[in-house]
Amino acid sequence: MKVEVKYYGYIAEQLNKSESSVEIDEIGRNDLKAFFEGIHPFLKKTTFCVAVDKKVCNQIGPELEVGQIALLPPFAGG
Amino acid sequence: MGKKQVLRQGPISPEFIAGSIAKHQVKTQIGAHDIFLGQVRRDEIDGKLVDRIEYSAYNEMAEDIFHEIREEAFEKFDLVCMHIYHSLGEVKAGEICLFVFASAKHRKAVFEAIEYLVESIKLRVPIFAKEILEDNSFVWKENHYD
Repeated sequence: MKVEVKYYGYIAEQLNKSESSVEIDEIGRNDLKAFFEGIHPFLKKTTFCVAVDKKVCNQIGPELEVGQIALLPPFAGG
Repeated sequence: MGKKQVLRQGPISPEFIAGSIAKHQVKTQIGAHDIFLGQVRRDEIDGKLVDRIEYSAYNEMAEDIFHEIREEAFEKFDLVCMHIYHSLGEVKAGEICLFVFASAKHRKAVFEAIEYLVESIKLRVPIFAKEILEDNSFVWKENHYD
């Protein structure tokens, strides 16, 4: 499945882009962090989480239609 | 309850905070307010001082999470009203980047609510901060939890 992926903060800076369209395979759907670490090895050395349709989540269920995925570096609000 | 816009461009001015307090003088069922103000600290990092922070966010998710946190606080604590404002963009050292304002009939509810709100915001809202140092180099900030 092809999904729109958004990048924020440190991750966007490292990739030099704020979004892209990514094809995610069946294995990737079950472990999104590992999938994105495979594409972007620098992520293995950093702390980040994945949001699926604005909820922190590491997988996409087989039945779920996904609108948007985001890769989020550590939060620093406040 | 409708969603309120929390994220605002630039620092939160003392005048805005004073105006917000003044607006509550007509809400005479309130007996206690508590306020948390987050201020950008001029930390020293590798011998250089922080000049400002540049905030960015996953805006749509951040507003959703702020809404969830507000709803949770209204359920948990006996509040009359509550307001949260958080900066986006540049905020200089010494300026205010977070304004949380809780009001209730009695003090205990607002003391507890403010702590819950601020800790939840720091932990759960996807806001990112770049600390820009006096020589324009920068470091990405990360919240720490005790």
